[in-house]
Amino acid sequence: MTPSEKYTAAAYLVVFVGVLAYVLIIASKLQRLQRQVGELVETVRDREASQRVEGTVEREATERG
Amino acid sequence: MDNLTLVIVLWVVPLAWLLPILVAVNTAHLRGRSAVLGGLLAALLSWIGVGIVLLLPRGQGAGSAALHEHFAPLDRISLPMFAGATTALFAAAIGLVFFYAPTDTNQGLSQRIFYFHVPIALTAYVCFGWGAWKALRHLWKRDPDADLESYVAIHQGVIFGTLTLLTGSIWAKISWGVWWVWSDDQLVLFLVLFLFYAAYFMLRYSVEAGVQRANMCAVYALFGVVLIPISFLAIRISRSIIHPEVFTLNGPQMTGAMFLTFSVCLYAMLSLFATLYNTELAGKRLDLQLRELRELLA
Repeated sequence: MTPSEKYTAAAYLVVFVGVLAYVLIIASKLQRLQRQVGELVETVRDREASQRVEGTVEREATERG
Repeated sequence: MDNLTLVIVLWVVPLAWLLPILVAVNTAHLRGRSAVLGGLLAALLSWIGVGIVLLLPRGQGAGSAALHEHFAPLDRISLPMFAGATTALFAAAIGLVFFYAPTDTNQGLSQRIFYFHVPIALTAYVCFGWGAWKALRHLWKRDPDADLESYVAIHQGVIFGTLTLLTGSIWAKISWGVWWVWSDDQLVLFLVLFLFYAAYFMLRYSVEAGVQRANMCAVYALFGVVLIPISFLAIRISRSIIHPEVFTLNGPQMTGAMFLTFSVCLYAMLSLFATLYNTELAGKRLDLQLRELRELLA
């Protein structure tokens, strides 16, 4: 490989590595957002489940009373 | 407006404006200043048209809701469309650079760095300019999305600026024998512009989020835009011998084949910017919405 070929390859490689690194960072951020959405869904589900249990307890107490 | 119309408006029309002129220039080998300037003007006008279409859904005032409804499909399809166009344009650009463009008699193979280096630099200017425009929208119209859009555009500008400096240094090493020349106005002014916008992030992260931060960042972004024309015109002002002037009033100083390759590379870089900008913006908006949702659920 001549020096001219080496430097040209290096310049193009820098661009592609730069873009790939950026895509990698964006992908990791999206993964984090996906995890956070999952956590929020779990929170909402837990809250709904606890509200359902509370409702059942209150209904039983009313029936007994 | 259906998807096909949007694709025509956004991609086919601009390319239809540009390609015949480029082909004409290519076959006639630069018939003169009027043909080239006409081609560039036509391309610029078509892209202004595209910009207006893109800006319309975000318009303020009476009737903006109706317009938003009318252009709603744009938001849904713009990102995959930009990504697809970027892929196609990059494939075409690489093909043209390595299999079509003639080898320069003076510099040899290393001259091919020009096809990526200059479009990346011009895209960096576009990013900073777009960031400044959004900053102005924030200060002028109080557009609620403008601050985030300005931030993302400047972030993209810094990325493209880094790539410009890196590819430029590699090209300088093979052409001039040094990595950097402090006596060249173009290089130094681009570095100043880059550092100015790199410092934008120091300002942004040193102030607490809110209206005050958005205002300060908008003013800073607007100050920086003054450096763009100075940096762009530096070669013309300084008449530097080391950094040759490629685009003169007599048209581009290159063959038609080289100019065609350069134009496709420029389109590819602008498409890449549009894709990355929309991707990052979507991520940032999602992050903000998630934060809001978490606060509501707390």
